[in-house]
Amino acid sequence: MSISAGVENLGGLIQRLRQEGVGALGAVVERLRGVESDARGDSLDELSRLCRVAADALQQVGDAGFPAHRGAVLEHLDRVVDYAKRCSDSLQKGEDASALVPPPILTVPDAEEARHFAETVGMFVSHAIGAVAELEEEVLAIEASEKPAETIAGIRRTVHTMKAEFGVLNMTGPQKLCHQMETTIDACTENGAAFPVEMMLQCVDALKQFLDALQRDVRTEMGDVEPLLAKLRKIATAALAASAPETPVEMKVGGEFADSLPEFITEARAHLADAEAAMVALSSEPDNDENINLTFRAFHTIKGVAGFLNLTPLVELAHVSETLLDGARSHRFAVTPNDIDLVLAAGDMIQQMIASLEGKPGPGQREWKDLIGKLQGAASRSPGAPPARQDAPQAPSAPPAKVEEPSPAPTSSREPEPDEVAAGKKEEAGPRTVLQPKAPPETDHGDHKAARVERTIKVSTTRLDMLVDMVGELVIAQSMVLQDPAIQRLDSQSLTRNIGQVGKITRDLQEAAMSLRMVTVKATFQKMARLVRDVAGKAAKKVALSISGEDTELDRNVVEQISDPLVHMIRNAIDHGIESPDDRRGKGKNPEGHLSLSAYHQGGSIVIEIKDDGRGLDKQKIARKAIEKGLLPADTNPAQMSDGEAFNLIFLPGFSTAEKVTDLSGRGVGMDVVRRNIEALRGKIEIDSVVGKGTTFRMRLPLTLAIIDGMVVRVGNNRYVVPTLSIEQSFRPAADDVHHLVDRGECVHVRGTVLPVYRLKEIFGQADGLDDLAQGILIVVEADGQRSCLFVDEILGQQQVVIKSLGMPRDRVTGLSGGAIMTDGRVALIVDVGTLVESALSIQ
Amino acid sequence: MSTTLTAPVMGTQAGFAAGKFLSFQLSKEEYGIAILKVREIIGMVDVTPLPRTPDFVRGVVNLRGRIIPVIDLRRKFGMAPAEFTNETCIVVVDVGRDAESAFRVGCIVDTVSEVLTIGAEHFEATPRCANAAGDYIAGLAKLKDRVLILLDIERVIGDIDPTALAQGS
Repeated sequence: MSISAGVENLGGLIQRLRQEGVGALGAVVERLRGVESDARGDSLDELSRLCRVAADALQQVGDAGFPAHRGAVLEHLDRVVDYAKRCSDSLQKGEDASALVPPPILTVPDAEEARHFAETVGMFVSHAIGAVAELEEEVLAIEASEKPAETIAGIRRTVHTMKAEFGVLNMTGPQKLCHQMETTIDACTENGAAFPVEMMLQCVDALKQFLDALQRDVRTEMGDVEPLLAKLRKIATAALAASAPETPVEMKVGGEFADSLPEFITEARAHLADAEAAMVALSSEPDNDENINLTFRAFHTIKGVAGFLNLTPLVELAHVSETLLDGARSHRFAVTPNDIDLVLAAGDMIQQMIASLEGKPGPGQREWKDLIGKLQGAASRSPGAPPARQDAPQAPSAPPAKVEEPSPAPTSSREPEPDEVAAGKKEEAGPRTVLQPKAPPETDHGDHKAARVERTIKVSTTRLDMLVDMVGELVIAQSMVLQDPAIQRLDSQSLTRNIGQVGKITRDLQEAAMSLRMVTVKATFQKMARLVRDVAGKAAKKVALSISGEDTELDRNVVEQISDPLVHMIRNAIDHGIESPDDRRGKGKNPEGHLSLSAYHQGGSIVIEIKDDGRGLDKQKIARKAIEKGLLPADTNPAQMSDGEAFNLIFLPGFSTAEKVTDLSGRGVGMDVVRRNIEALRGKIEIDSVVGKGTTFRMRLPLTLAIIDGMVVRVGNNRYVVPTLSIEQSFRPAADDVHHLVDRGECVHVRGTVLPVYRLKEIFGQADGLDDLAQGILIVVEADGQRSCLFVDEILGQQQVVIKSLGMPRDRVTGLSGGAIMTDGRVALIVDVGTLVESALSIQ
Repeated sequence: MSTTLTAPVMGTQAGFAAGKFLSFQLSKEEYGIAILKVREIIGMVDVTPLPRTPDFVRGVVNLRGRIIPVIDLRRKFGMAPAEFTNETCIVVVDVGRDAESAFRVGCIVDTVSEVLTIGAEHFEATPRCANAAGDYIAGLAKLKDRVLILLDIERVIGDIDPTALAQGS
C-alpha cells in the first residue's frame, strides 16, 4: 500500500476508534505498523518512528487502559495522521519531507493505573449487574407479593446499596437516579401511595443499559437521567401532596473546629459502616458483646466530634442511640431485633444528616423526632419490661435465656402474616413503640441480610481458570506416575496404597476446583421472568411463568452463553406457541397460557427445559413452509417425515412459519441462532410437541466446557479425540456397502441411508494410516443436522479429556477444537466435527 | 505519574536493543535471539503434528500441561532437514507485546550455545539482500571472531498464523 493510501485508511480507522471505542484499537495498531514500514521504505524516518512509538504506546495502554486515555490518544493520532498526510504530499511533490515539523511523541499516564481503574469498575459492574437483576426481580414480585411491604424494603435496600457504590466510583448520573428512586419509593410508601412498578422498571432498564455499556467501555457516562428524575419527582410530589411538607432538620456547622468538617464526614462514614456491620452481625450472634461495644464506640466518637462542630440534632440522635446501646452493653436489658433496627435506622439517619452537610436533602424534622422518641423509649425500658423479661441478670441462667430471646423472633417473623408479626411485636414491645407501615420489614432487616450474606470473596476469573488448569495438570501428572513402568514394577503394598491415596485426593481436588467455576442458573432465569412479562405484554397474551431448578449449577462459561438461546426460545414460545386468550378460551383451555422453565441434571449433563401449553408444532405446516421456502425438495412428502426430522426444520436459517414479521419474531433467524449457540457449547437441542397441547424444548448441555467425553481414535501414528456427543455409532463396513460416486467422493450404506465418507487421514493430510475402508472403522457423526462417516484406523477407547487451547495465535485450526494431554503426556488433537465436515466439503 | 513511552535504546536497526542474546546453531550459522524473549530451553520431545498449518509448524507439544506450537527453524529458513540429535533443543519464546496477542512458541534449533552480552557498538545493519527473508533478520552482531545473525523472532513467528497462511497457499 502506498503511504497516502495507508494514511487514508488509518484516518478511517481512527474515526472508527472514535465511534466504536476499543474494538477498533487492534486495527489501528496494525495500520500504524503498516504505515511505519511504508514510511521506512520511503525514508520518512521521523514518520516511521512516530508511528512505531504510537503503536507501541497503544499496545501498552491496551484495551483496558484505552478508555482512560481516549482523549489524549485520539488527539495524538489525529496529529500523526495530519503529519503523515503532509509528508506524503511533499513526497509526491518531490519536496524534502524532513523539513516538516513532527508532532510531539505520545505521552500517556501510567497504563498500570488505567488498568487498575478498569479492574475496579469491572468488579463493580459484575456485582452491580447482579444487583440490578435482583432489583428487577423484586420489583416484579411486588405485584404478586403477599407482603409487599417486605419486598419494598428489600428494593429500598438494593437501591440504597447501589447508590452508595455509584457514589464511590463518582458516577453521579446513576447515583442521582438511585437517590431519586429511593426518595420516590419512600414518598410512595410513607404516604400510602401505590408502588410505582412501571416507573421503577424504566429506571431499572436505564441502569441496566448503562451497566451493559460500562462493561464494554469503563469510561461510559450515563446518558441524561434528567427525564427519569423528573418523572420520579413527579410521582414523589404526587404522593407527598397528600401529607404536609416536612421541614428538614437544621444542620449548621459552627464552632471553632468547623474547618475539620471534611475529616469528620469521612470518619463518621467509616464509623457508621463499622457500626452497621456490627449490628448486622449482632442479629446472628446476639451474645457477642463485642458487636455492641463496637457500635457504641462508633456512635460515641461521632457524637463527640459532632459536638465540636455544633451539630446539635446529630449529637442528640447519636446520644440517644448511645444510651440504648449502653443499656444493652451493661446488660440492663437484652437486645431485641427491634433495638437493632432502631440503631440501624439511627445510623441511616446520621448518614442522611451528613449527606445534608454536603448539600443533599436531609431527614425531616418529624422523622427525626420520631426516631429519637423510639430510641428513648427503647432505652428507658426497665429490666422488668416485656422485652427484657427473660433477661434476669441475677440468675445464673441468664446468658442462654438471652440467646433465646432474639433468635426465635426473626425465624418466626417470616412465616406469619405481617399483621400477626406487627401484633406480636406490639405486644412484646409494649405501648411505647408505635409501628409505622414500614416497620415490619424493617424488623426483618438484620436477620434478613445476615441470612443472605454467604461469606464469599471475589476472585478474578483468570486466577480461577489458572487453578483449574493446574489441577488438570496434576491429574495428568498423577496418572503418568501411576502408569510409569518403573513404578509398576515395584511390588510394595504401601506404595500402592499411597499412590491410590494421592489419586483420590487428586480427583477430589479436581472436583473442588471445577465446582469453583460453577454458578447457578438463577440469574439467567430471573432475566427470563422479566422477558416473559414484557413479551407477553407486547403480544397481548396472558402468560404465567413457573420456574424450577434455578439452583442447578453450571459452568460459568456455559451459563453466560445460554442466555441468548433462552431469549429466542421464550420469545418464540410466547409469540408462536401460546395462543391469544380468546383462542384459548375457544379451545377450552385456561385463557392464561403457561410457560415453564426448568433446569435439572440428567445423565451427566444439564437439561434446560422450556415447556409451553400452546398450540404445538404442526408437522404438516412446517414441511409445507419448508418446501415453499425451498429448504426442502418440492417433491418431499411431509407424511413420510418423522416428527424429529420435521421439527428440526425450524432450526434452518431463514425458516419461519410466522405469517408476518413482527418486532418479536418471524424473521427466521432465532432458532438458527439457538442451535448454533447450543452446538458451540457442545450441547444438543431436542423438541417434543403435540399439536394443540404444547411444545417442549430441551437443551442438553455439558456441565462444564473444560472437560469432554471423547472417543480416542488412531490414524497412523496420530491419536485424535472425537467428542462422544457427536458420535452416533461406529462400524466396520462391508466392501459392498461402499460406493464411489463420480466426482462426489465415497459413500457408505448405513441402515438404509447413504452417508458420505470422509477420511481423517486425507482431511488432515497425513501420510500414514490405513487406506482400505474394510480394515478400519467408520464412525457415524452428526453435526449441524447432517450425518456423515469419519474413517479412522481404530478406536482406542473412551476417555474424559480436558480441552486445552492449541496455543496458536488465532486459536482456530479448522477441523480441530483444541488439544488434550493424554495420560502418556503427549498431545492428542480434538476433532471439531462441524468445521471438519465443512472443510472436507470444500476440499472435495 | 506519567512515563514517556519511547522505544528502548536503539541499535542501528529498529527494534533491537543492546543487551543479552541467546546464541544457537542452525546448520552452519550462529543465530541470536534477545534473551528477554526466551522463556526456557527444553530437550526435544514428541511432537504431535498439527494438520493444516504451514509446514514449518512441526506440531504441538505438552509443556507442563500447556499446549504450545513448535516450529522448525530449519524448515522456516529453507535449510536442509537434519536428524534430531541429543543436542537438538526447543527454545521456548514468548512473543506478542500485550496480554492479548501474547503467545508461547517453541523453536527447534540444532543446539544452543551460550548467552552473550552484545553492546550497541557490535551491531551492524543487515546488508540489503534481494531475498525477502531478510525481514526476519534484525541485524548482525560482529564479534571478535565470528558473526551472529540476530533474529527478529516476532516477525519469524508472525507467519505461524494459519488463517494468514491459508490465504497465501
